[in-house]
Amino acid sequence: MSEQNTKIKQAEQIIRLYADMIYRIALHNLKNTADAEDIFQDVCLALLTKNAPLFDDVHIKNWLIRVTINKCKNFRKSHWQSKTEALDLSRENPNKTQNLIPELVYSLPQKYRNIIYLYYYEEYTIAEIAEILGENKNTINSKLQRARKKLKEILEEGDNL
Amino acid sequence: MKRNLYTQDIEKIKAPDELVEKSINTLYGAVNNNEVFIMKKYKHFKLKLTSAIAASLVLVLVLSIVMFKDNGESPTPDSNPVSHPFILSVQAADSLGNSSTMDEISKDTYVKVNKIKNFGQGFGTTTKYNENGDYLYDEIFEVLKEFTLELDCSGENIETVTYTAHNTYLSYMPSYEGLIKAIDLTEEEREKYNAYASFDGFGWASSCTFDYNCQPKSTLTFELPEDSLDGSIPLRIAFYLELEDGKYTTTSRDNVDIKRIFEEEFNSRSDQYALDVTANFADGTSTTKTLKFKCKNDATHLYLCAIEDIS
Repeated sequence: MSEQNTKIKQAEQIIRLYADMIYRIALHNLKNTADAEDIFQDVCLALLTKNAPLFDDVHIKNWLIRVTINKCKNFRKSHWQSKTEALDLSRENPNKTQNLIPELVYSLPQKYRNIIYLYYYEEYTIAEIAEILGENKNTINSKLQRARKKLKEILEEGDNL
Repeated sequence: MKRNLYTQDIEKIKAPDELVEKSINTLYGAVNNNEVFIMKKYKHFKLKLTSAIAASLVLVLVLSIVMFKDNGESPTPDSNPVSHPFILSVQAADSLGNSSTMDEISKDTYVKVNKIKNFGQGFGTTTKYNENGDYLYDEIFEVLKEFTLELDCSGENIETVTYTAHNTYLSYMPSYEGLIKAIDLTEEEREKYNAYASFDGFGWASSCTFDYNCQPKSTLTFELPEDSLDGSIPLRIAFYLELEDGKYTTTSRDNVDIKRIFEEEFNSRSDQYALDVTANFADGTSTTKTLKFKCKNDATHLYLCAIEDIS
């Protein structure tokens, strides 16, 4: 099998394995399914165009998380993007996000949402999250504490920390 | 996964099967069509000089030498010329997209510096809802437009040509073989200009330098593709405009008259923008011409026009 075909096959396996994760991160950042789907496709293409560690099982997941977050960050600032905001959160269009992610989480700044997802759902440590997001460990810890206060009611049940 | 209300909700979110399959199929399709791995190759166009054009250029060159500002040193019979002249021209299209001449940038008259088929544009909106969550309207808060730059420097002993944008930025094709150097935007500049949109592999820079023989211009024989996305000209200038809150609203994003909005807003603040075009000569000296801009909208097309700044 040519090198090219090997890479594509590997990329396909990676996409199938991490599809839900990429999609969830994109939803956390962009708040709507249409934009999340655009980012999902961009990230998949990046697997072949951006020197992804396709054959490194240890690092490919972190790479995907970083790339997805960065693409979401760029997408939000893009002039092609049509930004949608409610007058305030309590009057946000209920049909926009189909209530996929708790509203309380959406009320947090983007960086907090990523930390919450990586900590509670993907179960990364603070040190690992700091490395993925390129931030100081203390900063991550502070943000996590602040987010926990705000999300207390939905994070408490079953929280073993 | 830590068990709580949040993670239980997240667990339910799955990437749609159709999305996954479509993305994978896109990868296979892109590779089969050589869209992913093969860099597009661009031809180098050379301007064909007819004898008539050559004679005209010589005449204009002579006149330009007389008209250029003196830099304070009087030439003597034994000294080299202090400043080197060059001619800055553009192949500007008419309303039908046809072009048969190279027009020199004038100090008196604005000249179109891009073809009728521009490259990129976009706008950002904020959606407004009422108390019940019903849609009211969209407020346009930003517009952006990219124009291809098809300028040509002509002169003796020019080695490279540098383009430097002021209060805006250039977008350039990194793979272009005539590109000598690009000074990329700083992070602050990217934030300021909202220079984040790049879906076609172009980079963003405050300055680009090209080989004299590979300048980012098209030729008289260049044909525009039908879909109007002429990406083979490797240098563009982009203008990002933030709009006053509530000044432009729409109830239909598909019907926004971006050309009109951009023309009005750009021309009201065009003084802040400028483009330096610097010819770098073999003897180490350089000469710069500064261009100022305005937009012209004929309801069908939006043009970028330039005039040489003599202030």
